[in-house]
Amino acid sequence: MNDLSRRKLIVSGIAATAGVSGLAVAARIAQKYGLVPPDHGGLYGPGETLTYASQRLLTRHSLAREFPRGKISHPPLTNEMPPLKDAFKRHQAAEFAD
Amino acid sequence: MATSQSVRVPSAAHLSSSASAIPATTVTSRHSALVRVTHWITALCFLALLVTGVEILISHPRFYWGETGNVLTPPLFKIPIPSSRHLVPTGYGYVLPDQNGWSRYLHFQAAWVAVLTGLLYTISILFTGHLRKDLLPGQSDVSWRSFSTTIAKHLRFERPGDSEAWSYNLLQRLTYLFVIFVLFPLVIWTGLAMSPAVVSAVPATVTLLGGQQSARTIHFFVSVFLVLFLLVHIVMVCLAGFRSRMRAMITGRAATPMERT
Repeated sequence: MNDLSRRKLIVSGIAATAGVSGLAVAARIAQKYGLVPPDHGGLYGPGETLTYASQRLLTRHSLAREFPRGKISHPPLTNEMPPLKDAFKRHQAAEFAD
Repeated sequence: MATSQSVRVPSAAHLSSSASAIPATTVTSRHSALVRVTHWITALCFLALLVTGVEILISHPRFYWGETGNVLTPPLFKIPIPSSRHLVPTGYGYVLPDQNGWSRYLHFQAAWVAVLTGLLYTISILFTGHLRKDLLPGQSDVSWRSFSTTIAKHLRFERPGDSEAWSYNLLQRLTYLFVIFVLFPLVIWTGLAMSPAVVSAVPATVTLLGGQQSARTIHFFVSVFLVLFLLVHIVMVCLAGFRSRMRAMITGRAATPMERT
């Protein structure tokens, strides 16, 4: 619609350069402090990295929540097991002979 | 920013008189570029959050109150659908496909984008005057009279007049304020309260809500309210003129009285 003015071009150029170099510096610093997760690549990498890094920063000095003894539930819940693999079932049927 | 500000038509005073006062030839912007961009990013994120949220819910469609909740504790209520985990008793002899992996990744990624976009939006509307001019009710609007008039208009299913293509009425303003400053903060808070990492750093995020399961239940109900808002929002856009409202939110060009569809 409106033609790009020289001032706008310069300002956006500087902003883009600052943004890119800022990101690069942030990545180096994050790498140095162990804020980059092993699964930082791929489609969900950016979100995973943000979550991982902010959790590491948040919990630097915090411990897990503690509960009073009275909170222990009477019927203990065993967590669900993942479905057994076919290979495991075969070994189980053979009583782990081989 | 500067140019879109200068062509924006000031809403309240100028428009309440008559919509025909807007010359049809002037290039006018109904929504600023910032509002349009953040609107569509939020819309996209909300869609992703909704779909993945439903997928995550399916893995355990039971809700509890307090700190503890599992298949051995009595639920507050159940959603009458099959689950994607075979150990969850649903009463259906059927286990849905488990989509939790990508759903959790996408739920968090979309939440990050939505929260950052929301922050940008909230901070900038304080400075651009969008909050004061377009969202906070004007002095003359804060009365039972105008409130009841707006509600009566809605109950009679009156189509909005031309002036309403340029500014929000009282009900719209209150609804948007409620969504922006109550529902969104609450859904973010309850979401964070389910995170063991956040809770270990700031235990009050979950203790104030009454426990992790309470946080999950509130998260669910706030999401239901947000979906209700979305449905009403879409219905109202259709009633007010789908083409003109969509154009206003995509290109920024509002319908002048002559070209209203």
